[in-house]
Amino acid sequence: MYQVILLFFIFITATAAHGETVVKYTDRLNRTVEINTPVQRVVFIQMYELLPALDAWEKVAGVAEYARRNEVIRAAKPDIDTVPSVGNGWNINVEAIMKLEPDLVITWAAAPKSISFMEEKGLKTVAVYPESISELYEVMQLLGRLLSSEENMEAAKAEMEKIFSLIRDRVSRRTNHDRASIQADSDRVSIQTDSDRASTRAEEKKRKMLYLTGQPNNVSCALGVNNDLLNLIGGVNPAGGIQERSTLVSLEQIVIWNPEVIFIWGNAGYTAEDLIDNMQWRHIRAIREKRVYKLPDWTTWGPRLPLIALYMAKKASPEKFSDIDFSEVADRLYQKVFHIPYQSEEAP
Amino acid sequence: MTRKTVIHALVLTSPLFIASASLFIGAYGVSPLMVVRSLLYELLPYGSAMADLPEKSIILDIRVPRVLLAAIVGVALSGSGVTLQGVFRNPLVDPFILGLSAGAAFGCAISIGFFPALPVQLSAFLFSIGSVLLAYNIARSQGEVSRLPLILSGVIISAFFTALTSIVKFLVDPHKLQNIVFWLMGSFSLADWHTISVSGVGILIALCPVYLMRWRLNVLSMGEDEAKLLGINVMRDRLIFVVSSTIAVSLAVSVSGIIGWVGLMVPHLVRMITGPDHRTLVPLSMAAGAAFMIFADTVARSITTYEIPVGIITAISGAPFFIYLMKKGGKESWGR
Repeated sequence: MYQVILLFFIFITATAAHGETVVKYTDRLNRTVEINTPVQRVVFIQMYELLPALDAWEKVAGVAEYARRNEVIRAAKPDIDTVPSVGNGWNINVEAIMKLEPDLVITWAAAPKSISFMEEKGLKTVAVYPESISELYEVMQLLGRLLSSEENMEAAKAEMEKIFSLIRDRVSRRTNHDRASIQADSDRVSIQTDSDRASTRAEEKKRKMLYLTGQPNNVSCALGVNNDLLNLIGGVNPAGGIQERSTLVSLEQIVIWNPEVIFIWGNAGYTAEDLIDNMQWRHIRAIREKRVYKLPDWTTWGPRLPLIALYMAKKASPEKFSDIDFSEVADRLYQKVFHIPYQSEEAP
Repeated sequence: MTRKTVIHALVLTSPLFIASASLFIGAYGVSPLMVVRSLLYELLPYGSAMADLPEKSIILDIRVPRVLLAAIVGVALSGSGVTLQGVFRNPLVDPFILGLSAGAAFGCAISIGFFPALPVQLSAFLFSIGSVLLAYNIARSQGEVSRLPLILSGVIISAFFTALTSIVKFLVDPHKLQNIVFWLMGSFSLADWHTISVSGVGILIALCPVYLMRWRLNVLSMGEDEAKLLGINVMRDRLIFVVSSTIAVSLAVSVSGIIGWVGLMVPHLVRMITGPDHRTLVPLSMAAGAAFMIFADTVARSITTYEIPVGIITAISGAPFFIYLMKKGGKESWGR
């Protein structure tokens, strides 16, 4: 994880020259891109959910087709269909982008061929791929600077961080149940148990939580935001030792891991009930205790990330979040960041 | 007992040996004794005490269905491969030649992409059958359905459905795209008894005509004119073989995704060992297909912590084999 963060290390240097500021940025493909700011025309192939927060629509020259289907964007900018579409992350319409004559294209690192093709055509591109909460913040910071929306991005970050702090704070609290459980374990281990060992036991008491993606046996691993979320809400990812974003594993492996809580990616084509009703899964603790939850189908590359985390935290530790009204927190973030009310049905 | 009989017996029983070995292999460390006890638990006097043991569930709910499904799909792909190679008198034909896999891929893509209420398996099955019917009708529009127009129609239909699948992939969001990609890679990782009861029985029924009429493949593979002279209704028999194979492979694809090369590679291997007589070639190919598929799936699920889609294993072993076939020459490996 640290290597990834290092790879993605941003160094922004600003040099004043003839009234322009040059921002140097080392992107996800380890390319140092020099961007003259403020940029006036940007195409967003990725990170488009930041657009309502950036509130710099006049600088948005084009968006990915997916952006036009995003419910937050549609609510924040009902005339989003007037912004030209340039395809999507895997199938970028370079001709359409060239026609828009953008200063900059924000795309993702998953399609490096299309990036080199765009660069050959004279388009300046920045490749992003946030793998953690801190990387998401870094990209937000970059975009805020490039579009002269630093204040908006700082405000969005502050709102997000409030929710993350709330989660961290609640997760770190020990309930009576936790104390009793840890104490019982410590007593069992040995009479030599000291405070360090008790602390270790507490670490070991972290609940095993698995995040399933597109298929029930495709699990989130060490890389990526999902692993960060599991850690944030006080869980430990049993697949966290695999240095991948996600991978297919056998059902036997999931039985061995025996997670206590299972989260299902919001866009997966199966439900929690599908797993609970499946005999093959019945020996897994999360299934026995019916602690399988499908998440809202929101992107993790946007300001709603802390809401996903809160949703997960409430499911994982309901006793610690019983007084937190999810819709209220969500509405506050929506109002402050997207400038629209929260109207979704999604609430844990 | 002749050497030939011994070889035939070995090939026919190979799925049993490989399946038995496969049941002992897996991420969950189940002891060999527990594997045997789990398999026999209904028969054992103290069997009820094992009812809630996870080890028993691992064997009976996860490994056995998986091995069985792999075997059945192997039978379908290999049996259909050898049948269609005989019907089309072409050693390089595989079960997907008539556009079946492209149709199944499209069925999967639209189910995942746009019609989540339509089960992926059903959609894949319907479109795979539909694609072959289309290919057959296009070929029939030329008059008599002969080999070349049928293969050409298959190529056209394949290209058409592949293009449609690309459009769906373009239109769906990346999350759903990932699901489509996973499905297309082929896997038995989610095999269960329900899948086997639905598809397995269907596949075995669909392959019955192929098995019972396998001697006619010998006549068909002599050529259309010769077959007619020998009193064979070429059109009718060809239709029966194509329909049976299509139903079997469509059912297989609908539950396992697209697993390439098996239907091409296994019949060739068997033909090299036993010769081109379809009376033995068909059952031996089915058995060898089952054995190979169980073996490939065991490799797929056991060589790493993670699961490798079995389609990748078959492709990795199949592609070099195909190159070998091309170098050796299609006619020579055809055995006549």
